[in-house]
Amino acid sequence: MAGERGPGCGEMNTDILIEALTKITGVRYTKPDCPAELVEKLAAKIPPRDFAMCPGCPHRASFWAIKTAMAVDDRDGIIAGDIGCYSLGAFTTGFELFDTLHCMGAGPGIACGLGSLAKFGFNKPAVAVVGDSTFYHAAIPGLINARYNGSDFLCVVLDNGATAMTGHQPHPGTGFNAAGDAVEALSIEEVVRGLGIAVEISDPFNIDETAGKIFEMTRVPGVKVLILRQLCALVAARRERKKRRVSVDPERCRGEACGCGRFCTSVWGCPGNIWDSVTGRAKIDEAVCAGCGVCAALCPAGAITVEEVV
Amino acid sequence: MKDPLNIVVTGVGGQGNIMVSEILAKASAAEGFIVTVGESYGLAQRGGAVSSHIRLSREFQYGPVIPAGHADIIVGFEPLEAARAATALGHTEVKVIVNPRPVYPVGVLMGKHAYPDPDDLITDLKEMSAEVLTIESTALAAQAGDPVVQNIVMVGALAGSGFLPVPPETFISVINSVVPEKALEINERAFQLGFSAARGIKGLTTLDTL
Repeated sequence: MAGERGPGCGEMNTDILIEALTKITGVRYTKPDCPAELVEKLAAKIPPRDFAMCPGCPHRASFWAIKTAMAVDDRDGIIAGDIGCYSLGAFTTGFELFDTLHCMGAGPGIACGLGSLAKFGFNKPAVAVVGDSTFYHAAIPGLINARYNGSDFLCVVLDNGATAMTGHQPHPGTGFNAAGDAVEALSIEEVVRGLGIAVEISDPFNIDETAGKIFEMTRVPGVKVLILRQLCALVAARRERKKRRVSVDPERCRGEACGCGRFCTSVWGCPGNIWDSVTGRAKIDEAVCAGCGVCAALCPAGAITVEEVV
Repeated sequence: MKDPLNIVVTGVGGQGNIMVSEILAKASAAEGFIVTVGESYGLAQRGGAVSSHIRLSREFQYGPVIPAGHADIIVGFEPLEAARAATALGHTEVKVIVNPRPVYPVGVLMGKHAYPDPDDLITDLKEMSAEVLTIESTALAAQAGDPVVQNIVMVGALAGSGFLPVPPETFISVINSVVPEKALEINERAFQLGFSAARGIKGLTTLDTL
């Protein structure tokens, strides 16, 4: 479709239009710029800035709990993701947790299918991961189908009280309707109980307890729902100033000699955890840290401390 | 003044980029400019780059996107993002105000990519622009009482640089109208620290007229 005057399809932008207009009108245009060698020299040094979950994002903790439970379970469980901020669960920053990621509502649908294959000898646990907004919007039909057809899987609802990815629009759990008026929120657990499905609730920041619940629930037959409830870090930051100061004790951090492979920075991947290359020790970026303190619970050397700030 | 005057405010999600574009737009509009603002955010909020384009003119309502090579002022809350904006939108006459404190991309934190030496980035920026003011805005914000107000320190620096024909009083009254009431004092301190820092680099006192 590309013609001499510009592309026939794809994204249009100002620069493409300028080029097309110069060809059509014959008006001369010289783009102001810098010497190409200077631009190239600098551009070559600039690494990409990939998407990441926010500092203090509860999804990171939820993902780690699911990953831990699946590792202990040791049946190579299949995780079906869904659409939201937590879609990053399909990528490096989400520990490449998801095995599938399709359209909204596909997580429970795919898990429902996988959870019906036991009669063919399939013995891997299936887990669907959906957000709270996605739960109301698209997960309920999959749950009804699973309950009615007797599928075995665990649906984890990451309830961060927000439609975070697209800009915090109200959803039926937020207590505000589309007009912004305060209304009675719809309870996820009551909806689930109403479908005749067992439901439990856990705080993802308590990783051990949450991983334990996931492990136990995947071993129970039938469809189950686990709500992991912890407020979106962006909403939490707006509502209140952080109450905890997180820091690394440089005496206790063993640096490269630890054997953890710089867990807090290279694996955990929270922007609040940084590496001090001068001292060879982990460090907390105080300007970024949201104070959730989950990294402190995960540091194998116990070098990260959390202090309540009044 | 060049017309239109094209300003890029660039940084990382969470650094207060959108609030600064609002402040610059309102302050410029209060000075009689026709202002257009374009913002890129969305998923960028998740640790990605956030960039705002603010275009001022006395004559015309310009489109919200600054064409390649047409930025006149780059306000970088982070050195890598200042450099990224300069390579895409800069030209030899661009003026840059940069916070030299890195916010590491997740790929750097995880050890996949290397973060260049910020001093090197700033040296390169100086080579390809008319002027670079390095403002330690995160440190100055901490001095004002909270590192998160580094964005307001940068607004102060822009006001102090004289790059923009908007007097400091206009900025202060706009800041007072957009920040939460309980944070007025800390934001005003942040603005003053940025203002003085830029004036200091330019060899001016806060009393010299712009």
